[in-house]
Amino acid sequence: MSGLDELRISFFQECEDLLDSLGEGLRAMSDLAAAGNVDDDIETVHAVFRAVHSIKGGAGAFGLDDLVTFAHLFETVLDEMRGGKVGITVDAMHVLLRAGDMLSDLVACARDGVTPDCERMGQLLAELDALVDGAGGGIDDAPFEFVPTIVSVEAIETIDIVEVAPETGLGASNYSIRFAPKGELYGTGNEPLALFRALQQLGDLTVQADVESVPLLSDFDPSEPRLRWTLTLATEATREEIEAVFEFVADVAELGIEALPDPGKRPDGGDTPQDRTHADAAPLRDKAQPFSGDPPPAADIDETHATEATSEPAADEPQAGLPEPARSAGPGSPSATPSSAAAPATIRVNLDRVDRLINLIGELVIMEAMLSQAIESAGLASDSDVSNGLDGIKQLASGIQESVMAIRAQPLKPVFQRMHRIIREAADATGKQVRLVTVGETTEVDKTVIERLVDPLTHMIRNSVDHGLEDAAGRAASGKPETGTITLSAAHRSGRVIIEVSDDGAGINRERVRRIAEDKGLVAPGTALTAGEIDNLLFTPGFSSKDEVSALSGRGVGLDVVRREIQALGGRVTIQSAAGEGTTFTIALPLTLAVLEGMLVEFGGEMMVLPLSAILETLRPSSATIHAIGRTGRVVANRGELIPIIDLADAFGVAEPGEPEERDVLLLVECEAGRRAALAVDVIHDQRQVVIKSLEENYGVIPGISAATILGDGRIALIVDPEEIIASAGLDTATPQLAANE
Amino acid sequence: MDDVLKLPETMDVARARTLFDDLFRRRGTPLTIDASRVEKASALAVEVMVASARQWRSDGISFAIAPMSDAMLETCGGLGLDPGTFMPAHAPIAKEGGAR
Repeated sequence: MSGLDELRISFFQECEDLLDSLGEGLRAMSDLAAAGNVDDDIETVHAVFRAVHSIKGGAGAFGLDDLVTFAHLFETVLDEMRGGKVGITVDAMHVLLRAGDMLSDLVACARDGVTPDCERMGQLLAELDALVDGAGGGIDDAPFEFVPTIVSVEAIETIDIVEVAPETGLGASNYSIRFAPKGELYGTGNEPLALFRALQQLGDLTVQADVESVPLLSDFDPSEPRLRWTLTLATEATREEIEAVFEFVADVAELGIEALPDPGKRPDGGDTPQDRTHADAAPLRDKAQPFSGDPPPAADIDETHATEATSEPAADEPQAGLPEPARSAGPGSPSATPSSAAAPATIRVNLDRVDRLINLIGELVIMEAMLSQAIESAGLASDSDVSNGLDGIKQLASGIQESVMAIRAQPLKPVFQRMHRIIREAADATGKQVRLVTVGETTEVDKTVIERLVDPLTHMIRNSVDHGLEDAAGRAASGKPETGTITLSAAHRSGRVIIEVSDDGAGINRERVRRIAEDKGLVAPGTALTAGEIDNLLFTPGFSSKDEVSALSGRGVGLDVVRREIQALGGRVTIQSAAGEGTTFTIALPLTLAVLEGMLVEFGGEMMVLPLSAILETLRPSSATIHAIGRTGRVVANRGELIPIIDLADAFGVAEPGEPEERDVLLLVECEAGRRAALAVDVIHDQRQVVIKSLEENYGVIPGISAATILGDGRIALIVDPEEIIASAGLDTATPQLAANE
Repeated sequence: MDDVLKLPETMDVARARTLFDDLFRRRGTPLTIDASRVEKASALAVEVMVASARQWRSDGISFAIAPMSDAMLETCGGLGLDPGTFMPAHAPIAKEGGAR
């Protein structure tokens, strides 16, 4: 991978963070606009501006013209908003929220090399332009005007300069930064001033322009700018943080960063920046403007005013209009202030590296087991130093495993944030008024789980808007507020992650659901069904509750697919609904895909693991409850149902000759579409967490086996896939007939 | 009486190139640039003005940039330039601005 490719990947990773900040900020602005007090939090507008600006800057560096064009107009509107020229109204925010979605799409298109939706982009550009034009600010295409008038330059010649002694904390270092933009820098939408301001957030900055490098106009070529700068930065930030400011312009500027060995002295023995400021400022005393605080009109300035304006260290002021490629820029986040000391340091790590670490821990467990065996064989006492040492290593390994799992865990927030857009689009498509409330978005889940949650959640949210919520008139008639609420919540419960999507709609119309299911032949007419069973019909393949396929959620993808996807993650999804009050979908997921909670079982002399998520209950039935069906089939009567028994030893062909015919320990499992079976084994040994080892990668596909694990004693145990076992047994019994104990 | 070149609100990169052409044509005549309306200025536009200031000074002809808007003053300060002379200034940069 070339350096540029790496930079590009890094840019898109940064974009994800920036888009998160953008979405969060826009929603905050939207809420404030609705409440009519947006002036209370202008910093949010600044933060949103910074996010868009940073995306534009990076996009420019990679020549992503569509992105640059769109981001430019977007930030223009935001700039006008923070300048008070464009009002932050509910209507304006509606446009900005959709512009945020478009920007997100453009980033995705640029990343994937896909052509964006030009029509939608053009429409949004027009709407953004209209916002600016409405404020009278428009993109000014007026030609320069030549007006023969006499002007006085006296005003600016009487301004005093006020020296500001930079204040730096303990441990601050001084850096000398040489910065020389190339023509491409300007062509890609970057501006030196924005970079300088980003630097200023890191500490105290002195800017020195080298105007001598600029030729006379007769020799000047605008495509080859010559103005360069020497910047002196007194900061506690690291060199990497400084370099990060220039990350997106590295290829379009010459950059040199040099640490000055002593904050009080330059390496050339010259004065400190502070000293130079004082010394050099003297000749300018009669002419220069103090650039601290808001400069008042030149003619009104006086010495007193100027002194007051600069009495506060500039570094203490919140900064705006700054790109922050290396740090988050959420509203009210620590990045709004120059000090970054409080922000936790983070690094991006390739997931492969973490997975390698997990595999190594598996190997460590095996080595432990072998060592343990060797100690036993050698006849060493259990309280010997060697045994104690091994116990210590086991504890450490367990700690390492937990820590590595924590690395893979990520908050659900990014997924939840994406759902705001889904809600917006679903609301637009259905004409309903909907608001999304998110709860517990900091709940952490394994990264792979998070990525695979997006599609099912998207579908469930669309389903809730489309089918769950009533329209405004219907809600009003029921005495509910016209705006429906969908609540997306997450929490850890009993070692699992519980995610709920609930709406305050009318609840499931069970009569209608039943009728549709009967019409489609999913259940036999007249079958006795409980409320829970009727609700579960929604997950049956081929079920669509809308009489006509809806443009929104009825895209040929039913809730059965949602259930299958959740089950593929080792999770379960259930529904609760109350007439007139709403419907709640509950997803229960394992914390990680790298570790599985399983039951260690033995049959035919083989030790295997059954995923706990599939097991409903375990039974040791009396012989009276077991009935023979056909020549070899058996069923068990349990809670009024007859459940087919599958002997795992037979299924895997490991039954030993001479062993009893009927194994009497049954594990009742449920699979996709609610199909159930009782898996017969000899013994249940234990319930434990096991590290999942892929067989497909290391060996090949084995029917009925999903993966393998290494047990504490170093033995390999295969992990059973109940889904395939039931499928291969040819059980086709549908849910309603069997699912009575929801 | 000097000619006065009145700059528009936005002096972005494209405008900087137009400004260069305009100024190049006006070489040899006393000139005042009115930057009172400027809300946003690219550093490239400022550099064109620096090159012009040097040119006019070298030619011994009067050249001034005045009056200046707050935004323009702030941009110059942020770029380490004394707006009175378009020569280097040494001051910490401004705290807030609309330059992009």
